[in-house]
Amino acid sequence: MTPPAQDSTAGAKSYLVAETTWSSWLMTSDHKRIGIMFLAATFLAMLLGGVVALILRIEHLTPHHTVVDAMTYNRLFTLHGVIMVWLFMIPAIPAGLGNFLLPLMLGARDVAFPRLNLLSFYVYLLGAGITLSAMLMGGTDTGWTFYTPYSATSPTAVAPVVAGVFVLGISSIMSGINFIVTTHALRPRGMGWFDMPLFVWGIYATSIIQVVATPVLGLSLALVVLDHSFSWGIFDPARGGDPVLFEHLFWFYSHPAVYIMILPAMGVISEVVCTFSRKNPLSYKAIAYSSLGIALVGFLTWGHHLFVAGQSAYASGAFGIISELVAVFSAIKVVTWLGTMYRGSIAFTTPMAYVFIFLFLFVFGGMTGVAQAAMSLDVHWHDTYFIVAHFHFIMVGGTLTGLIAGLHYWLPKITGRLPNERVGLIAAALVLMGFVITFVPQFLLGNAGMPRRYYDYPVRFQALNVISTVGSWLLSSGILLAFGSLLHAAFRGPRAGSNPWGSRSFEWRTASPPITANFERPLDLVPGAYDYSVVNPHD
Amino acid sequence: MTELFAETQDGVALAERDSLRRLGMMVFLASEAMLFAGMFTLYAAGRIRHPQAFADGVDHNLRWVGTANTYVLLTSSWCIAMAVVRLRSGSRRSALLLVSATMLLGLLFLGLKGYEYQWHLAEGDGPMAVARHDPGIALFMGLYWLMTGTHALHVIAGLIFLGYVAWRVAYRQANDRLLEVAAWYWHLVDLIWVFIWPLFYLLGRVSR
Ligand SMILES: [Cu+2]
Repeated sequence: MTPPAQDSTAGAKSYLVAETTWSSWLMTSDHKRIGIMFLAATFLAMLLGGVVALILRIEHLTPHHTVVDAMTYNRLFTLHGVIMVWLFMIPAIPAGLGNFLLPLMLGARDVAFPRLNLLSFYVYLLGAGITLSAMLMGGTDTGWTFYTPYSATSPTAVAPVVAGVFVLGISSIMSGINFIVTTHALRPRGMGWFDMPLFVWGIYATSIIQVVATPVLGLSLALVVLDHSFSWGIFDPARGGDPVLFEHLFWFYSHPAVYIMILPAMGVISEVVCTFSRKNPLSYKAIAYSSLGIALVGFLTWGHHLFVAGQSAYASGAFGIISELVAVFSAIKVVTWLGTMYRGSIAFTTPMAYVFIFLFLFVFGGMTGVAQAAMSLDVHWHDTYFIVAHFHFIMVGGTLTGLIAGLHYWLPKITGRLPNERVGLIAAALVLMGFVITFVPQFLLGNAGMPRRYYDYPVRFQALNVISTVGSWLLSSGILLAFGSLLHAAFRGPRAGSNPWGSRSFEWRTASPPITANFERPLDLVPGAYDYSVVNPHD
Repeated sequence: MTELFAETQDGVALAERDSLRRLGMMVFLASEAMLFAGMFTLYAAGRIRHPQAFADGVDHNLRWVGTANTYVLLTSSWCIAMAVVRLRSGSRRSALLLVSATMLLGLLFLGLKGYEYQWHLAEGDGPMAVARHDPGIALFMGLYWLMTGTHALHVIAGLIFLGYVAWRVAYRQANDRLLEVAAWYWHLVDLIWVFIWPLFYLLGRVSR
């Protein structure tokens, strides 16, 4: 294939080599470079959070003390949760891949507010810095949920950790505003809402959640600081406050936040499925609308975290029923993806392998979620390892496999080089085995009554814990292999050409890697982003 | 501010830049509204739980300051709305005068607010002393400092924003659309106050 863009862009260099100084990266307003910086920062966060997870699992090799003492254990599981949720999973796909791809998919030169975009990155770094330096001050032992009243009285460094997360929220809002405006206003003439690549819908729905829900998180965190530092007692029953109110405010954000993590991953899956099945989606609108549906219904389900917090049975019933609705939208997506593959000419590449892992983890984890949303069952599983296994399957599994699939799929777009298929597939197999072996035992442990966040456990739980720990080694070696292979390919992989996968999606209609201005001439909207019925004139 | 905005292939037309700003501000205002919605929810929960203490708290507050401030902010909102109208019809001078009036009224609001805060501090009811109160009153005072304080910070941010836009308008670097976006922000801050006013200054035990 001869990329036609090459001839006409003879003068313009790719964004990677156009400028090479440090400041050309650090002070850039190019969404592609900012996206890469977000990817790098979130990758480092994932490594740190992963190391902590390994220590936690090693601690559980024996029922009592293994490598760390009880207090350190409490601080470490908090550290793990805070890093993985706020430093890694929330920003990784939207602010990383989303930043890189959104303007390319819309045929735009950049996001709506490029400098706000850069500011968002530095605010992220500031928040990460505050949170992590607070961890050096001893960290905190409240868990990533910062539940009151304990978080208001814990003698650990609650205030700086929470303040760091507050700052991270500001970054999240900035990116959300930017992406919403970009999607609305920077589409080229002729591109309607239903002509956009589906990944854009995922990012758009995510951004709505970020903008609307994050302020409420900020409020609840600010109040924890005030309660902790000045004994305001907003959430302290002894001072007339109500600790359950914190749970309401916190989960008003943090339940939708799981969709901040999963919706972009679903967007990745939609793109990968269509490209490697060489087919248009079974129903474009079903995928697009279900993204919005998940985002909107997700705002009304938070009470399922309060089934045992003294909430009325009526409220719990309502929250339970609404929560089940999310499964309906999710099922629509899964069915649409499978229907897209049906009778497609599927290329079993590494991104596709991750799609299947995603589907397995998502459906399996999702079904446990359907069960948990039923109040009667949740009362049994509440605060046990069952919950831990559930959200690692669906939320971590979904986000991580979506991210890795996306990185393999768009590596040629980002770097102009191809990932190694063989290593990629081996890593994928390790990730799948690692996930199953780590977290299936945790479902069993939780169902048998092992509470989460406990340092000790009865001896009868040891066998399953050991299996889970061994699984965590497999999982981490798979992840390391995947990212190692990606990094190697980014610098040393074979040249890819502008559209190595033969995708119809718009981001592939320019050079790979793109020039700084993205497109040399206005994006040609014909054929459509999923129209495989015609020969692609852009190949 | 203009540098914040992207240029497409052939450069974003000025009108398109304006629409980016307007949309960006609208989305931002939605975010701000949610921040205050969370606080009003807290207030509602506290008031339901401690109706007497909250009524007493309201009665203890300086009603005349809150009421005066309501008129101050409403007038300022009128000024900024008129400033947009004037700038649109081409009279930059009177628009700038109206923006200045808006900002002076904003400063007056902060001055009155400062007086009120000073009065609370003199009574020993400062934000650091919330824990001294009885439970219900403590909650009321905590929410008082939280909500009026956050609102005051927004007034300050609005003043800075207006000052910046006025400066741009004065040097002919901005059009009425930018001023309109700043005015939207000011209106939101004003609107939020209209809800804070009854909750902390009017809804007492009995009308005095
Ligand atoms: Cu939830």
